[in-house]
Amino acid sequence: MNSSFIDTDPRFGERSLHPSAISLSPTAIAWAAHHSQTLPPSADAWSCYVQLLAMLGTQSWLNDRLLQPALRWDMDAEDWQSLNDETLPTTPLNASPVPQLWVGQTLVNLLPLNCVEDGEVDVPRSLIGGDSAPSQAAPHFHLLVEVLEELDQVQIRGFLAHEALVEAIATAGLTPHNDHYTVPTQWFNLDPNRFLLQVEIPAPVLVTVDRLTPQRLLEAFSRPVINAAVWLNHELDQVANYLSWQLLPSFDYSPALRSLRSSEVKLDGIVADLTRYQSVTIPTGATTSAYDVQLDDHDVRLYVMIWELPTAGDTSDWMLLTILSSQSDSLLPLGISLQVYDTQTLLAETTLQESSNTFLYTQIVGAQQEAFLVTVRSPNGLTLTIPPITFIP
Amino acid sequence: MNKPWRYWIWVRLRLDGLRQDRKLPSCQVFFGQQFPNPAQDAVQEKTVQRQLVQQMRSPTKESKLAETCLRCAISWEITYTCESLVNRFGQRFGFTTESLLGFVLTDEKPGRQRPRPTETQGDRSLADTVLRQFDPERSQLNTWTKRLVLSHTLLNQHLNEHGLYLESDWSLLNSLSASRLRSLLMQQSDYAAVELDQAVAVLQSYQIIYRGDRLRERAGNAPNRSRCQPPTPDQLTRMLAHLQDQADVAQSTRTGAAIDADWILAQLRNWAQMIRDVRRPPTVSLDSPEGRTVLEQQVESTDEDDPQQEFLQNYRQALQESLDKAIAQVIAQRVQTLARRDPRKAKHYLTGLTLFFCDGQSMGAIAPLVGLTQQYQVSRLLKVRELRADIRRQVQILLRSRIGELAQDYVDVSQFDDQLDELLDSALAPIFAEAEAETFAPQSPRRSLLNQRLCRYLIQRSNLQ
Repeated sequence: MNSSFIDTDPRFGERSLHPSAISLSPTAIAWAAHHSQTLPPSADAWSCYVQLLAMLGTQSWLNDRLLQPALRWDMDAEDWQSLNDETLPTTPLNASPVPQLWVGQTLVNLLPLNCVEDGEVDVPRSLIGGDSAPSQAAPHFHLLVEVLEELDQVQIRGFLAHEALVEAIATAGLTPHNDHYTVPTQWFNLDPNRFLLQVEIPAPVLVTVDRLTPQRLLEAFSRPVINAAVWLNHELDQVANYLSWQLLPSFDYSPALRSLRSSEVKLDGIVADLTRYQSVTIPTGATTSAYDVQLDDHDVRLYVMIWELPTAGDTSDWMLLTILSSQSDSLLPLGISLQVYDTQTLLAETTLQESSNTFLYTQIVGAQQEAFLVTVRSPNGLTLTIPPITFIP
Repeated sequence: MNKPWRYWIWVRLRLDGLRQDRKLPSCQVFFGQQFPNPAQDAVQEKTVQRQLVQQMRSPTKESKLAETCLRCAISWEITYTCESLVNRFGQRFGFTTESLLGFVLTDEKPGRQRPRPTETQGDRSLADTVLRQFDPERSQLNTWTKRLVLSHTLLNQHLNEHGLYLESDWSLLNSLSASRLRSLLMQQSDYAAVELDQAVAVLQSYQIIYRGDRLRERAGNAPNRSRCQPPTPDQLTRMLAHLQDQADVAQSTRTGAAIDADWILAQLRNWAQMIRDVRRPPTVSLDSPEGRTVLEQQVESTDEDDPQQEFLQNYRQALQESLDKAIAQVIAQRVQTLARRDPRKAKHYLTGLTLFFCDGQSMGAIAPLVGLTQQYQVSRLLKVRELRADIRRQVQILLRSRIGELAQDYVDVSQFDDQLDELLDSALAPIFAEAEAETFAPQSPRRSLLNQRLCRYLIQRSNLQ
């Protein structure tokens, strides 16, 4: 065998096919090719086609790998919010779709490319900010998606957090060219399994071993918020829903109409106590959600009750009544405490000091759009912080 | 000219699939008459080919012999190309020379009386195609043959099945951007701005015509999934026309000649090769033999004082429970998904996993037991690496809900929450790395925690059915 053949011969540019590559069906491909040709002539049909293939492949991949995929493409048209062989959308497009999808609470932007080993990928300038429209939500992650058009396959190859991408572009002093930045694929983490880890374990609930420092306070407020005003429509907002909070039926004085769910029965007892002994007035129309969580071996429950407070001004205020109790018939441990913060300071704090008390509570009045942070501190000092709660009707 | 015997020794595949080199005396004599001193440097390969082609295409009594000589040389080039692929990729991707030759070394005995191939009749073999297309003025026989071998559809499908993808020129060009072309050309040599503009215009003409046609073809839902073919003469004509419409683009080549279809084609092929030349080799997969050493370096030591080890010892119970639960959840989901598409495949999947994790069988050994023939197909079915990753992730999710217990041992960690995942991650890493390293040595006892619990689950599951 003449080995000089290999040395002097031009390179093969070979590529590896990963076993986890997604094969696209002929139906899906025909649909993508057809749809990209319906764009106005000024649009780039081929790049739209590649984007659609990337989207199809990515949804398929996430459906296969995530145990509880909650996927929704960030598109206005309803039939475009899910892309799979059974439900290919028919609503025509005016422009190339922005390939972003919600995986639970995480917004993921796709970066389609031909081959990671070619070394670079284009990132639309509008995503990096500066002169972008502020109303557009920034994605949390960017996903490198190889579209092997010749083989009808898609391979997810890597990812990068949005903040890291923005920072790297600034540090490297890159300048955009024709509406996009060309960035090295080396910046990306090429282990897609780690990406799945990031999206499947969101951390909207914080646990710290100290009281909240001002810095942690700021960080906590930057997390996704619970908009309690949504509860007035008899449904949970996205964040509370994601954390499996329980929306309790509207508060009603007649016990006969209420179910025998333990959380409601327990709440009844607490409300009776509050009304009788603490002079707390709870109007009908108050809405409550319950959150069960384990802190430091203790099974606790937070009831968050809200109602509107009319004011002399244009907008009403709102009341945040937070109740901490145990989940079952067991008692709350002595020394457990409940805190409420606003963005600047600690507003209220209460600690369980007598075993005869079975619950703790705080009441805070807020203006519309104001947000508060509720934390629970175990006797050992472990602090649980739930997402900030706000009221935006 | 070296190796003149390529023109009278015919390489073929026997019925049993093995290679055989057969000398054809009449060709040897004929060649000796035409080229008495082939070893001389003065006798160029090009001259030989030109003459043989001329003789083949003329209605003389020598035409048959000339054709046979050419077919011999072609059989050599085909074999050479296949051998070089195997040399380079065969071991890593698991294919042999004979398997490749089966697709492309299909010429029947040269010298037999039969009609010469024409475009209308259809080619019976790759050699037929070469003989029909080859123009000695424009290229070398070996270049042309090699190109046809490397772009052969069935051969490439075979390579794809083994995990190797040799992208065609046209696919490469479909995804080449104007700015990338400019920067690649500038790196290569000095180009005047006018030439760069011209190059971009050529690329754009190609992409508008070729990609436009391809989109229309793909929208038609045709089941045909062949590689991207070279542009047809009609397409080249349209590209040329489109280019000529660009008034501000130079319409002649570097040497002042008028641009024609051949020139466009040559530019395009050059650029495709340029992309290949600068492309990095594929990143090593941990499932491959080379990945083994990488992994072994990463497996953490079992240090008694290591806080992560302490965590494991203290919480083995919680960990094992989470592990068992995660294994059950992930495998159940996989089986469910497979069963929806094909219940038999779901059954094979479980069988394959059991053979792999309980018996330590290699992928190759498992193949026939699950109705497959190739190791690569088994890898695709079992997707062991992804399975491990998903189980690991699920364990992390389940463990996270027991944060209280973990926190007590790490009270001095100030930014606990952010580090929680890292903490769990590094605690789980040794378990999964150990399991992975174990599976690289086939037939070794499966002692790692993960593999043990996996095996236990699979056996329990099969006992229930």
